[in-house]
Amino acid sequence: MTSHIDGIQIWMLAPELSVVLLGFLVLGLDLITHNRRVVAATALIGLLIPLGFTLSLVVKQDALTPDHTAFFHMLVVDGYALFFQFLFLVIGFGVLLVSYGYVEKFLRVTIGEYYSIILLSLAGMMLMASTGELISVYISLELTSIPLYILAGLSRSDTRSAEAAVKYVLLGAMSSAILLYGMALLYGATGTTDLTEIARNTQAALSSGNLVLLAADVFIFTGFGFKISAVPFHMWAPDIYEGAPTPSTLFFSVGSKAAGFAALLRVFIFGGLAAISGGTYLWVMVAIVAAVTMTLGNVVALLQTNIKRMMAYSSIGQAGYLLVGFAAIMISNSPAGNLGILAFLAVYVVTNIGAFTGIIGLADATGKENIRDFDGLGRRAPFIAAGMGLCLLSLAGIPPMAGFWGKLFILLTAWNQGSALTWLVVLGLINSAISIVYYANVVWRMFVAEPEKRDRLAMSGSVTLTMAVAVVGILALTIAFGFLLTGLGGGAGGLFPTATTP
Amino acid sequence: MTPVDLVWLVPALPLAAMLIIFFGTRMVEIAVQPRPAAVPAPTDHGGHGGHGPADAATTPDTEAGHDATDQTAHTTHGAAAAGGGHGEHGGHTPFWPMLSSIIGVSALLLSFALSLLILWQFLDVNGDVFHTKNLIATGKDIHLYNWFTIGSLNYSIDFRVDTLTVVMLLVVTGVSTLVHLYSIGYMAGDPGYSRFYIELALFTVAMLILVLGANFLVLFIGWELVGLSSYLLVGFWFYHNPPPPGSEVPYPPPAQLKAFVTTRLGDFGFLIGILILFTATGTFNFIELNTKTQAMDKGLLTLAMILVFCGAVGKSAQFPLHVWLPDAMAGPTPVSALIHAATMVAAGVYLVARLFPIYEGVAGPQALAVVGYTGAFTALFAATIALTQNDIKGVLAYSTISQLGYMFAGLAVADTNTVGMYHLFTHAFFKALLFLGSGSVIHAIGAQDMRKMGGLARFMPWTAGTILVATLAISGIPPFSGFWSKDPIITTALEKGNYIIYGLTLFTAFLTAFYMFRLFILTFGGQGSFLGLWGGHDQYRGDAHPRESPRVMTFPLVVLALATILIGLAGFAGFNQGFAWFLNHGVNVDFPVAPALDANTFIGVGAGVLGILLAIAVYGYGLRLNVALASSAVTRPIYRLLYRRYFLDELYLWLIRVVVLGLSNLCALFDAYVIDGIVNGSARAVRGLGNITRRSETGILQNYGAAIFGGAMIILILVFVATGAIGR
Repeated sequence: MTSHIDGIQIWMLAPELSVVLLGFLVLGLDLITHNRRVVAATALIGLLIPLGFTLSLVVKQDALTPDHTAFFHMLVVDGYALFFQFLFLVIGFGVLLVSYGYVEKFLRVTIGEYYSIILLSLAGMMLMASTGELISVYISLELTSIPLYILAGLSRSDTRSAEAAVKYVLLGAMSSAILLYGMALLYGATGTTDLTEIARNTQAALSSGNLVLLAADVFIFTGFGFKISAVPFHMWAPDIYEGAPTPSTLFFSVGSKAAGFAALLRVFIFGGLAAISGGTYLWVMVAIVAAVTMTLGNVVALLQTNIKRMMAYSSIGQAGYLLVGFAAIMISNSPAGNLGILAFLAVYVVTNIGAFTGIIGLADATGKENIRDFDGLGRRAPFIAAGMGLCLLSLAGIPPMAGFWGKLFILLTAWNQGSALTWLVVLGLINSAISIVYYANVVWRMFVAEPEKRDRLAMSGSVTLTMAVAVVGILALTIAFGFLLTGLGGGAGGLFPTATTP
Repeated sequence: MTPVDLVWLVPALPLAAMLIIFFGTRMVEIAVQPRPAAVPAPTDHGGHGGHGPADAATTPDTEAGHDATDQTAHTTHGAAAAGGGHGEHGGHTPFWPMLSSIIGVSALLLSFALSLLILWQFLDVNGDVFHTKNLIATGKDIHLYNWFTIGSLNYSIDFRVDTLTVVMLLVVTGVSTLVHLYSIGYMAGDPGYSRFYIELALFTVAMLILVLGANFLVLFIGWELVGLSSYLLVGFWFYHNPPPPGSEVPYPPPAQLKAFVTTRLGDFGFLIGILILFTATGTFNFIELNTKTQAMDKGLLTLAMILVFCGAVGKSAQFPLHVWLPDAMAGPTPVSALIHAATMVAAGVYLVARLFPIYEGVAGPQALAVVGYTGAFTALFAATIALTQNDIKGVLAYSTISQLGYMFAGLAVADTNTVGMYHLFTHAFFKALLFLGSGSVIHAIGAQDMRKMGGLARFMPWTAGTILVATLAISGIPPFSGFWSKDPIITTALEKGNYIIYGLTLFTAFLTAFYMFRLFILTFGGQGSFLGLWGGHDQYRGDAHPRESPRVMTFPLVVLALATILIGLAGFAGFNQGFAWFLNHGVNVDFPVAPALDANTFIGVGAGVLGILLAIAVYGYGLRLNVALASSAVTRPIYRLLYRRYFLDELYLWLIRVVVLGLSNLCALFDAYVIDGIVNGSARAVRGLGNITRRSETGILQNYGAAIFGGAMIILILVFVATGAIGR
């Protein structure tokens, strides 16, 4: 580790840095020009710069600092971090693109404001995956969250939006408090905030009978559990998903969730907390939470009439599947579960963007967001309906869609952990069956049910383009799932070596 | 980097062409062209947009065409054929669609050139040019990527290039190139011109993937894509619906459905066969299967191979699943040429040839017996139907079914797959020639009914001359290519002592020559001309003004005719022996060399000559044998039986209406009362559970906060208790 800051370290921070600068640029540009297209084009094309930096880091991994850390271990640029940076840039691109029409129509903010808020939050998310130290984890978490609170309340004329924002802020603060408490306990038990140091010290601390560590684990899990909307910390999600403007909801459901998992895995695996589960029963906590999360998410989603609430519960259910993979990690401390989670997340992000694009498209054209408003969408907007149907079927895990492989892989990893998680896998399969009902219901409505009006909906170019990108993405992931797994292998395994050497 | 390493380019080039046309020229074409409101759906977006009108109009009644047939059977004045109307575009193709076809043709040309290079590399046994020694013996595996791995099971996307693949690559790209070229003339001015090239390219890509696959997984992807693209192409004129009154040809939407569903029946067995093999051996890979099946239970393996053959029966239109192929001529004629010569129907023969080591060496003899008898029976069966048909493409369709039967018989009787494959090879050229030639005729006069033709030879000498070559070839007359490939099948059957197959194929050879010359004389000749073959204005029975087709259409005919003649002439220099050597990975095998001029060859050729003479006597010189047979009280039922295609379509329709629909009604009852009861019950339980949990979502902030803190506490206590009580 170098003790001073040099060019290489700046380069390692460049993706996040350029996203922040892009956010400022877009905000400033908004003051100069009133041409929305210019601002939007700047933001979208500008995202290629951080993408370029990320790719340069991927290609030139040998040129980085030897241990891939910078700024005194605060920044860790390993394969895992780079995967998430890439994923967040994809999310950012999708969200910016799809919200173009919606912002003009429904929100009384300029496009530059809206885009800059999203970009700043995006920078926070990227940092959450690439920090190696507790304080910076927390700061990037807040950098992520505060713009999200604003996004929830942006629909200023809508009381539901205001309510959503207030609820989000207050509950977010509570969960942050719990997270901080957990971090404080961890610091107390190990005497450091550096995750690599913590990984070294935890075993010793635990073997000396320090149960404070267990409490710290539970609290940190709670804090991130809020972000990923795991039961029983999920209750904010339906209200806020419903109340927030739809593009913001999309951003919560993919960005916030992926960031939550990124940080959770980083702290637990890289910080060695998962490794202490050997003699303890921490995995039971995760398994129970996973089971409850899957079941509640899928069962309650059945009863929803509002598509955004349904997607909220669906995203809770999907978090449950991801937690099954996390439980597998907690038992075996092996990269296989991590690989499953990363692959599942990649697929989930693309499919959810596609599904929400359909919702946004309908809201754009008609202002409606109930499930029954999707009746006959297959005739009114064939391409959007077909793309959204594809995404929903992938979310339900219908073979051979990418979603099926993702789910299969996670459940298979859990299955391989022996009898301890068998019940969880069976429950996951039952939940999968339940989830088909509400996903397929929407597809059925789009293609079988008679529409109220047989008019042709005019979809904006941004929605159509986003859908096209999402569909191509899903098909590519379906065909090249093997490539995805191979490509992620390094990133998933990279978290582990420090943890396994006590 | 040698050509064989680039083999993925062979399907990739047409694929790229397809995408460029789809997203490029066709989009521009749609953009620049004013949308005519009245024309249904020519401006649809490739696939999905086009189904709207077709779906609405599709009825399960595929029989309408045959009912119409019945009505016109005894009236000499059959109404103008519906399909013929399509041929009479002759319009001008605008710039953008023209660009589409140029892209398509050039991509196929490149693919063909690459295939030729690969052939060269295979023939370069000593590695003088390409430094790849003895590729002919080893072949080359090209691992594209692992789709995924579960446990020890590998689902990998692999190509394999061996001599069999090279032969198929040449046939597919060669014929497809000519069909692409020919379509520039045939489809000129059609509103769906670019769409046609998209679907044509997809068809070719599908077939190339099929023949390149190194395992069942890839083969099946190609297999299904072939099915899909044939569905699209057979129904290319999906908006011509319903058919004109009195039409004798099937109209597109039911025909495309029939093609898809009928082959699907075969695929059902095919899939079960694949799964049996996979379950027993754990691999999809053909090479591994060769060795691993040896450990399988003999009976099960034989059953699996027969089931796999079911897939070939469907795709290659063998009895009893042949019914889709005659109807598939509802598509544009170039498509028929492609389906009948190189792509769709060849897939079944290729499949058996690919698995030949297992059929011949490992599985029980029953498997190959099923293949052989099905083939030989189909050959005769289809030939008898072809005797009576009046639609020019209909006769050709049944002749294809018959010739495919020969190929299966050839595969079954010989020790290697060379005899059957050689017939596939030669047949591809002369059958493509026959179809493209008939397309040229249809293009010229706008009818498909041979009763409205006659004497066309002097109007369109190029077409007539080239078709005569193909007709001689399919009749097995030396020195044309068909003789060198068909005679060995008959001779081998005799040598192996399989007298049933020998008798069937020999008699079929006689019938083939008869009905093919009947077709030729009815179309081009007529009474009063030289041998009745080369007719002129006096013999023309229609009312159009026939003229020779443009060069872009006659050029492919000439190329194919030259191929038919040259392959035939090369036979004297031992070309078929060389083919056998090549296909057997560079090892000489005993290929029945036909021109040994023994008695068997004379019998085979004699049967063909007899058929030709009879056809000339009846149709060229007015021997009223046919009329006598058709009207005599004794033979009339037989004639009707043949004319109505053994009433198989009616039988199938009855089976579907009574048996299948009856069964599905029973199932519907079971579903409504038993299954739905269970499902509704469990759904009610789940909803009840959901209703209870939903109440927790109060919308009150304090409750949510309590849940977060309370949840964290409960989990903490649980972890402590569990760790304390059990762990430490």
